[in-house]
Amino acid sequence: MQQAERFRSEVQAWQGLVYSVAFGILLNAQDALDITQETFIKAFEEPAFLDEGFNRKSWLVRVARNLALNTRRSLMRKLRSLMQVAGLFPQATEESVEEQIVRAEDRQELKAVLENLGPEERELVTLRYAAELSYEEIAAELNIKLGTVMSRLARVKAKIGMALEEENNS
Amino acid sequence: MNEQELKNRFQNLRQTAQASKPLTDAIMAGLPEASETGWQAIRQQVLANGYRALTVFAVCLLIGSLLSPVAQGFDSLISFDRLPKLHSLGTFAFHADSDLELPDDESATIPICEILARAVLPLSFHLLAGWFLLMTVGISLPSQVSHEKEISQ
Repeated sequence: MQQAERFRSEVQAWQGLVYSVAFGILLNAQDALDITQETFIKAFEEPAFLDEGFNRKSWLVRVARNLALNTRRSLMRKLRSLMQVAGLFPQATEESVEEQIVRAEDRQELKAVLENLGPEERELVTLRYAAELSYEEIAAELNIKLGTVMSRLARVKAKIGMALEEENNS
Repeated sequence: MNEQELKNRFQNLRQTAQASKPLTDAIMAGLPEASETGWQAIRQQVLANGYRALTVFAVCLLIGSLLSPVAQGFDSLISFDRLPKLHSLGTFAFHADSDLELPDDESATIPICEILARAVLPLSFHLLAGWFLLMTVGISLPSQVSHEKEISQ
């Protein structure tokens, strides 16, 4: 019982991070909710998760990112997107659970910027600004050189700057 | 300035998600029961795989058993008396009293389709059944554990 309470407080502490990482990669509220739930199920099943010295942030970011990447690649998701475009699959309504979780404006603002980026650039931006990882941590996470992280981020920032200016002008 | 704006947008998203009680409730509601965690979940997975494997095993065994008499039926139909009788499990058994004649040059070749029909096909179904049973039960535990490891990395 006490463990459940402890886990709940950890969920409250980290759910924002996990949700924003998942949303940053997938740009879909329903998928982000699913990934957040799945990540915390994995955390619940991880025996060391509540241990004192356990690096929860790093673990959660890694699991959420892996799950989001798997979802992005999944055939079912592509099929669902295709069906939504064709009008065969219902779009999420304003009353749905994911709408109650995060204000639509917060998501839309971010989506407007991130959808101009490629999947890898989005992942980079998400790790930097949603997970707030350092350049070194990003390099370790993506298994690339520090210099590559810096140059890619500089390119992405330039691209985003252009997107933001365009958005502000319109 | 632009970078700051992006930071702020992510921060807004993160903060509202963090403060969201429906999100916490949804996460907590989705958690498995304590009794189903860890090794118990793996054990259940292995059992489920075991049942599935047993079903496939039974089906393969049934097909193999059905094919064996069909293959034996070939004997009487084509009056093929050079080959030893087919054992019910698909193995050959030589009979001491079988009156084997030395085939002449033309009939010395045994058609491959007859070998297939009489022995290889029924036997292969039995082997397939056994292989599937062993593999499915055998690999389910390590694969489950490696999957967990892969996700947590």
